[in-house]
Amino acid sequence: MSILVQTNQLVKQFKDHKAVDSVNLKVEKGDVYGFIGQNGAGKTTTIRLLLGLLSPTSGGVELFGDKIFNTNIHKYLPRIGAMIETPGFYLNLSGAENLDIHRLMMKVKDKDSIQRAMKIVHLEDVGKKKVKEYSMGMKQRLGIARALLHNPELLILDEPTNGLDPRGIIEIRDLIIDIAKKHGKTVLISSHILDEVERMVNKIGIINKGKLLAEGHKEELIGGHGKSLVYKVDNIDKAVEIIRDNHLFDGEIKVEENSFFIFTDNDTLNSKITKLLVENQINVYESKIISPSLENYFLELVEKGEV
Amino acid sequence: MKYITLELRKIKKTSMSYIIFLFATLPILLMLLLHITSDEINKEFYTIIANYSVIITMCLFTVSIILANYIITREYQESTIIYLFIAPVSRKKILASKFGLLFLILFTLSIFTYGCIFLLNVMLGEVNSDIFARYVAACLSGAFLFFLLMPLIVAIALWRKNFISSMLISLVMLIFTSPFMFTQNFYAFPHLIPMAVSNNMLMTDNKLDINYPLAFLILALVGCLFTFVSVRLFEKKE
Ligand SMILES: Nc1ncnc2c1ncn2[C@@H]1O[C@H](COP(=O)(O)OP(=O)(O)OP(=O)(O)O)[C@@H](O)[C@H]1O
Ligand SMILES: [Mg+2]
Repeated sequence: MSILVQTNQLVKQFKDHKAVDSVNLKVEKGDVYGFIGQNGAGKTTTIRLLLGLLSPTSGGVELFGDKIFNTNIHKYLPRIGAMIETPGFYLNLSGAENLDIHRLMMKVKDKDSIQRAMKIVHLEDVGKKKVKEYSMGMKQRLGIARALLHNPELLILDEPTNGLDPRGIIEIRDLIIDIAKKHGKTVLISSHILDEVERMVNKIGIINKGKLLAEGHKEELIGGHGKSLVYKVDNIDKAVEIIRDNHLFDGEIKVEENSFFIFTDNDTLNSKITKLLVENQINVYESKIISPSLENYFLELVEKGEV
Repeated sequence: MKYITLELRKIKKTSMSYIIFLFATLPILLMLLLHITSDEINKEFYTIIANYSVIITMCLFTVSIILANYIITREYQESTIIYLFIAPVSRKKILASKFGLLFLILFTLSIFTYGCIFLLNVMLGEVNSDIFARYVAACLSGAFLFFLLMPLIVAIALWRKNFISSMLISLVMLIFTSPFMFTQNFYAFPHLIPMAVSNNMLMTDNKLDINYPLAFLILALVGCLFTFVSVRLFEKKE
């Protein structure tokens, strides 16, 4: 497996504030990498460092296996397509004219590349319209078209679903899945909404306050975290006592204000516990099984990171 | 350079086209107006031009300030600059193509304006080879010397990264210092030099006392210094 992006102890410090703190991330060929973090976590800053738009305070970036310096970054830029934060365009020009400017900047000779890119993002009918008249979703798609224009191996998309309605989000997601599968691109996609990327990525990196908290295959990361059972009852202390006394569950039980959590992969336990509690005259208002999601995993990591 | 045509394409269909057109025709119309309204004694068209040449140079300077500020700050305000920077083209080249565009437009505009006024002069007054030479000298020296000021304007735009803000700074600088043009120490304000020189090229008498080599040297130094500053600002990666 060849590594397309790798960072080594990457640090970016703004005045007294570390926006990126010793990040080691690794994107391999064929990955769809979800780069996840809350607002201000350092996603955009990391991406700007990868693209040579910022220079690191310390540490380094490797692209396509080579160390990157100010002097050689231009060699690798044609192999990367990117959309960063807001997709900026010359609003007075049409979508196609904007792409044409980018085409000349990227030194692409083939003029058909514009139509091809527009077609992938389903904008072929509005190419002549001024970007000023585009909707947010159209601009995002045009941004992806621009990133695809020069047929790069690696696509870096910074929050491509930002500011879109649910339908727009689904459209972009399907588009990215399509681009990754059909066109065989490696994709690095940042997001603060986990649910969105969960379905399209195979790898995940979680960043919080500039630190990469975890990185790995989606299954590995989630697999390590079993399901949990949640109960809402009228007397929590008594309920926990009953479960302990009957040795139904000996692991950790997490008690919260009006519910308690049991971490287990054993599905049959749910009915047993409910039955036992009811038999002991405890009112069970609610009982449910929570499947592990990236969301939970992420929140857990963030909590740990903050302690 | 092909990137200059690219810069030209970026400003088409923007308000810049109107602004350029406006400032190209404004001095011509004003001169006509002055000609029509002036009394008999001053009726000679060329005298009017020579006396009011500062209107022409002011228009040229204003439009070049607006244009320079616009082509720089819009890239930041419309967030297109990132996409120029992730292209395999050096930042120096991108900046150079912007200066190229300014050079092109400044000269075209200058030639157009002075050309039209010269034609008016032919129709409404008398011209001879001496007057023609004066027009050519005023036109070319003005455009060239203004171009030497462009790095200063570009540096302000790169520093502010905001059109309104950098326009205000540039215009305030221009307006509050223009009275000094007719005093002895205008060398302290290099942006007045092109106006003074153009003015002198057209004047037959009452010329301003200018030390031309010194004036040129000052402007060239300002040009070099701010080219350096602009490049530094443009290449800075925070
Ligand atoms: N140019 C800068 N100067 C100073 N601080 C900066 C700069 N750019 C970013 N920061 C700070 O660095 C931190 C990380 O910002 P960054 O934009 O990378 O976050 P993000 O993960 O992309 O967040 P979002 O989801 O809001 O886009 C923030 O606290 C931000 O205020
Ligand atoms: Mg961001």
